[in-house]
Amino acid sequence: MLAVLGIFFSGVNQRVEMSLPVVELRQERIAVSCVLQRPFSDDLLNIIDSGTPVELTFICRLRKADGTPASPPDTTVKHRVVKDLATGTYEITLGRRTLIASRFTEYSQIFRLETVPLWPVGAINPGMSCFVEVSAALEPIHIHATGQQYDLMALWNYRVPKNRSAAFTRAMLERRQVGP
Amino acid sequence: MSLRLRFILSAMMLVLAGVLPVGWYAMSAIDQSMRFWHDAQVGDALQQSLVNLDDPVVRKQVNEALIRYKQLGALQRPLERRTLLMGGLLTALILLLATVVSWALAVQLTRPLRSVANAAQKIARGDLTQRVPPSRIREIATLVNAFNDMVTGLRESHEALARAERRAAWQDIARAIAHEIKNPLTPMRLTTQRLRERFTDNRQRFEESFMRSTDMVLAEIDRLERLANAFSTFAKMPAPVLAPMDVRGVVSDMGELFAAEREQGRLELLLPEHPVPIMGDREQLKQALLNLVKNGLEAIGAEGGKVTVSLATARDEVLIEVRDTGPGIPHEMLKSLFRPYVSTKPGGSGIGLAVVDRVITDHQGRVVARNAAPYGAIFEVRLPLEKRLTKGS
Repeated sequence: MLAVLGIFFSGVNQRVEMSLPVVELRQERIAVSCVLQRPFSDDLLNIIDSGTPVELTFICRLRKADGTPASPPDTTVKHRVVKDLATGTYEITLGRRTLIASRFTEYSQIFRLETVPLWPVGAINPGMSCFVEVSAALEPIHIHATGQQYDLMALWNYRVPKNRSAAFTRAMLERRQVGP
Repeated sequence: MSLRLRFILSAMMLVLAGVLPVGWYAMSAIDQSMRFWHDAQVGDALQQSLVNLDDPVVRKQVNEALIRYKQLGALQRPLERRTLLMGGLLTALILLLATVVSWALAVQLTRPLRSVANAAQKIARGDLTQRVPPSRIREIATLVNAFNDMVTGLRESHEALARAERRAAWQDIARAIAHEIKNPLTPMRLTTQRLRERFTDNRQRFEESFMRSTDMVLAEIDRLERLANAFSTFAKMPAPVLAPMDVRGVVSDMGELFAAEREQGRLELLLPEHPVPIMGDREQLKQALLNLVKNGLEAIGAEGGKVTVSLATARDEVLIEVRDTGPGIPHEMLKSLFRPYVSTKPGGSGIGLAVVDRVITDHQGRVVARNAAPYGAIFEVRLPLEKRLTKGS
């Protein structure tokens, strides 16, 4: 019985974690970088390789140091990967960018946010201490055979990986501005 | 293991025995059907067609078919896992429901049994008015009815026995009073007759004889009066007025009342250092203990011997023990010792121990007498500690 259960649950990830978000200033906007650790499992790889589109949504929230929401609304960033079964290549969409990848290492970047500009820096008052909280969730997929949906978060044991950046102020961001 | 727990475990085992094989069969069926649809040759053929087809419409259709086919294989394990998880949750829910239902049934089953047990305990403490409410479960109802019938029979027997005992006691008392009244009548009659003879036959020594005879008659009248007073006191004894008190005070009072005996070493008091609280009527308890100590001192006589009064607590009770080194109590009198007008002493009224019994019973306590080895008698008084008495009242 335990062996059977072991086989069943081998496809489930170990706990997926969100790395510490790094906040910088890019093009006068607050930009966030972070990456999901251990997002893959055999089942998720099989689903991607079946040609089923897999979407990941990052939800970014700007918060004051006491945890209350800052004035800019929450922002979502959608990443998507879909395999072309005829060519064996992967079409990757990272926000508004779309690119074609042929290798696993390339499409794994859908689990990463890399200095994505989100809010104008003017949204935070000078001297106000803030932090950014980022969470990620896999979108449900459509099962063609049954017409039903399958919640891919089951592969992450329904746990939403989440992390928050170190506290920062506008002045601190301006000191570590990065190029375009 | 309690009956309730056994009942619940049995229900859970039954549910598991039913659910697990069905669940296992369902899992196997799902697994087999998924394997049936996931045939590698089909996938390879579709893949090959996709590569070689030129018609974009047909190509799109084959692509969708291939995605559909590959998705089945990719989702096999996640779907099986989801089914297993749902099955597990469903099983847990059914088990929970089974536990709740079996708990309710077990309570329904064991409640009357507990009522019977509680009633039996109360009956053992002397409350024969207990009745267990009827049960809707047939077997339990039979038990409850039998129990209630038994209690009714027991109560009737008890009442009959009490009536017989009361009758016997009154007969004893009537016999003893008649005997006690008759005793002085004979000397009084003889004396009066002799006085009359002296008056008519021999006037010389009449005066001397008159004085002696009337002294004797007056002495007998005094004795009858004392007897009547003792009965009167017993009959008029009021109900105790209970108040918090330390029993050590009552025992200490004995030392003052019998100071001379204590100095002579004929009386010893053993008291604990901590207070011994009860709800009691100090004067009545003092009277009861006085009677016991006095009896003990009379039993040991003037020479040698000792009376020991000890006070202790045991669980929820106070234990007062009056032990003497006298000749002990005749075996045949032990049972009737506390009845009125039963005495081991010649000329005793037999009221003293009846008063003790009445006082202690009124304090929700009990007194028993027994002989000590190798000689002597022990009177054991048990009274409830303050907490228990307060609950009871």
